[in-house]
Amino acid sequence: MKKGFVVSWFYPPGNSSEGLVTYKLLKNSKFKFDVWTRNNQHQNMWDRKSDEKGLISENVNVVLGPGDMKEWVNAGVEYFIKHKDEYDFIMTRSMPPESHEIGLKIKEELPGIKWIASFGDPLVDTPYVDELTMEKLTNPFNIKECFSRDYLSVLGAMKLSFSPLRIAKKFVWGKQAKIAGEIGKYYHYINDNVLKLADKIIYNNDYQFKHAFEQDDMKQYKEKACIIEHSFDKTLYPTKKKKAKKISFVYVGHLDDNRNAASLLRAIKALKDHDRDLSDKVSFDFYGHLCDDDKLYILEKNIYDVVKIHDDVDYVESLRLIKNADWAILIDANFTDVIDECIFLPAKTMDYFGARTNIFLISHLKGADSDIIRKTGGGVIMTHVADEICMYLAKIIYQGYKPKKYDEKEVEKYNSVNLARKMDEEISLMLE
Amino acid sequence: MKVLSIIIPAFNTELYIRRCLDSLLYDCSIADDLDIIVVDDGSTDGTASIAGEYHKEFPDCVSVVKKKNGGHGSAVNAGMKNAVGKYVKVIDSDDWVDIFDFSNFVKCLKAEDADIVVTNVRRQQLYDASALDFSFCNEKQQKRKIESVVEKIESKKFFFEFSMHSMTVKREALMKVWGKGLLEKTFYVDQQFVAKVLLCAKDYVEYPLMIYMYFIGRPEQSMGVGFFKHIEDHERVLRWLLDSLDKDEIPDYYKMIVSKQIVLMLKTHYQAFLEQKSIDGKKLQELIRFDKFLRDNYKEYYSEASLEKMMKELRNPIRKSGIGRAILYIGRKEEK
Repeated sequence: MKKGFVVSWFYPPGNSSEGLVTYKLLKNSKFKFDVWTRNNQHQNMWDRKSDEKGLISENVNVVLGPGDMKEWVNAGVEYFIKHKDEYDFIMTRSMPPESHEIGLKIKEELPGIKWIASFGDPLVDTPYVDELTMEKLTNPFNIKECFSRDYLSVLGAMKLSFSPLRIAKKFVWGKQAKIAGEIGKYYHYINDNVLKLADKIIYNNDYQFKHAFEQDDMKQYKEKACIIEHSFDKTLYPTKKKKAKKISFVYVGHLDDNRNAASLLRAIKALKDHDRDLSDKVSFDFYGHLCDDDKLYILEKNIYDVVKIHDDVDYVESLRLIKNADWAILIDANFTDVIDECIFLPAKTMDYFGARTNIFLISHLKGADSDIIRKTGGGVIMTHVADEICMYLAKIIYQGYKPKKYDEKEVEKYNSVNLARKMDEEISLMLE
Repeated sequence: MKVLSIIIPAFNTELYIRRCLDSLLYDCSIADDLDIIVVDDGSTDGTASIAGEYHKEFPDCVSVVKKKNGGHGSAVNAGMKNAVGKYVKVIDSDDWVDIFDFSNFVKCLKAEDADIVVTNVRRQQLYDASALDFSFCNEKQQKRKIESVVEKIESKKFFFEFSMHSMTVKREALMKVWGKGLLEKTFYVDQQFVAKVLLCAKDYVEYPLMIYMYFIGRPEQSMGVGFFKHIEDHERVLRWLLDSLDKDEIPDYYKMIVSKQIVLMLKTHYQAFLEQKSIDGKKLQELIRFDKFLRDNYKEYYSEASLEKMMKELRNPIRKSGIGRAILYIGRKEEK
């Protein structure tokens, strides 16, 4: 049996979206794998607190490297070089992009090695990275920017020109931008070189695929790219569904300042203004991380009788919660002013499919998850406008609205057994 | 008799039309009072088939009119031909209504007699998920003569209550002035619709109800990024409005309201040109020709908004760092 060396910063026993995606694919693959991951799985914001000790598979051996990213990269390369004869190919998986850096370094040392690189999210020209790098923003404390943005009078403008506070802010922003710019350059470097040097590239949805090859100089690498969507693993779900007394909505996972529940919470508040007894009819349970503004909103607006925040849970428990809920909430960041279509596909979409729970999707109306849910059925899709969300909540709560039933044939496409087979085919083709 | 005909002009809005229809049909108890007409203006996506699903579910309430593509005005015209309700309202297929107030609204309309019913509008801006309310009244007012709006305008208490989104019109009255209807193959016929309504109405009433959810955020929206593409249509509507003021026996309130609309439209018209990073020669010549036409024939409007006036604003040294910024500045001045 052929064996691959998989590089993934996230992997069980750590609980993170990318690690779980990898786990489900590898577990159902016909190949054997050693996964190079790291020993401290709870150190950054993307690591969920719970351990996934139960998520093991016979064909996968986990090799723990250092918890420091830089050390992890170097040690990963060293480890592979030392054991190179044991492996037929390497697979690197982002996020973070450092996984691919290991791939690049190995490829540099051993140009003959076959390399399959998988992109969880796009690395360049995406709203997340742009925000992180600030590379497209002009310094907002630049005097010219202040003039035109703040509609200053001539006198006001002159005063501001000499303001020490503005000058200091301009300086600090400039420094931050420079550091962030370096990160942006690094992302570009990784992306461009992976496309150039990897033998196979995996994207997880059509939009991401299209996005990756928008630039003319990248189009030449299109041939070696393929799409393997996220998947669900049937065997991890409880067999029976336990029905709650009231309509239950559940969200499990990570929400932050960009991808937040603000609009949903505003909608719940609007609904509560119309119905004081809302808490008797419906519950919203969030498991995992919520941004501070959302938490404050829940407190300030007195909606904590309807909305409950819980600590993180492990993956299998999350699947149980999803299965038992009437509706599973899916929220994408609102990047309407930056991109027309949503290029991100949250892995939990497929976890919801596996549970056959109705999906309450707040996203761009056009994009990876909305397109897929339209095809599979089982969901209602809306924008981030609170009044629109409120309307669909009201339909569900007061009228018992149910979405179109799941199309079983469509849903089965995302069964990890089927997608692992697809991945195996791609690996076999690469090895030929 | 149906109480309210809702005309929904729809062109390639498969992603949005469900929201519109779901909101209208939220309260089944008013379904019998509604005459919802989806006018599919030659869509090439699933718009018509989605509307068909609703027709199947509510055959007495939802109908679908299919026609060749002819623009927003032509779709409204087709809707008007088929409308049977006591009142008529136009709702764009990417917009929707507030589910809580809409039921009340339809119930109130049953007993209503005024030619125009004005309700509040909420602008839903998708990019920051913000909502801006245009509330024209906070409590139910008595029916008023349309002429009384003059006082409101003079006392500067008039904030464009009469817009396509805020108005619901008695169909019988509107049909008297409808004639050939709105301009075909033309965008931005909203103002023309308003002008027609103003000519037909004898009285109006304002309800303190939030009805219309005006959605901004569709990438291809005609008032958004694509405005410049249809600027000829904008000129066509402007000319129609200017022309309408030349007719005899035009009431004062009509002149006052339409004049205000014209000035706003002119500013938007020039801004749309000046916002462009590059303007092709032909379009620029057309703008200059239109500017000259305005100077020669409508001095009062030319003094309010002209190419020269707008350019002057742009030459302001502080603002010249960005044309777009300057336009925002002008917009802000206007709001003040």
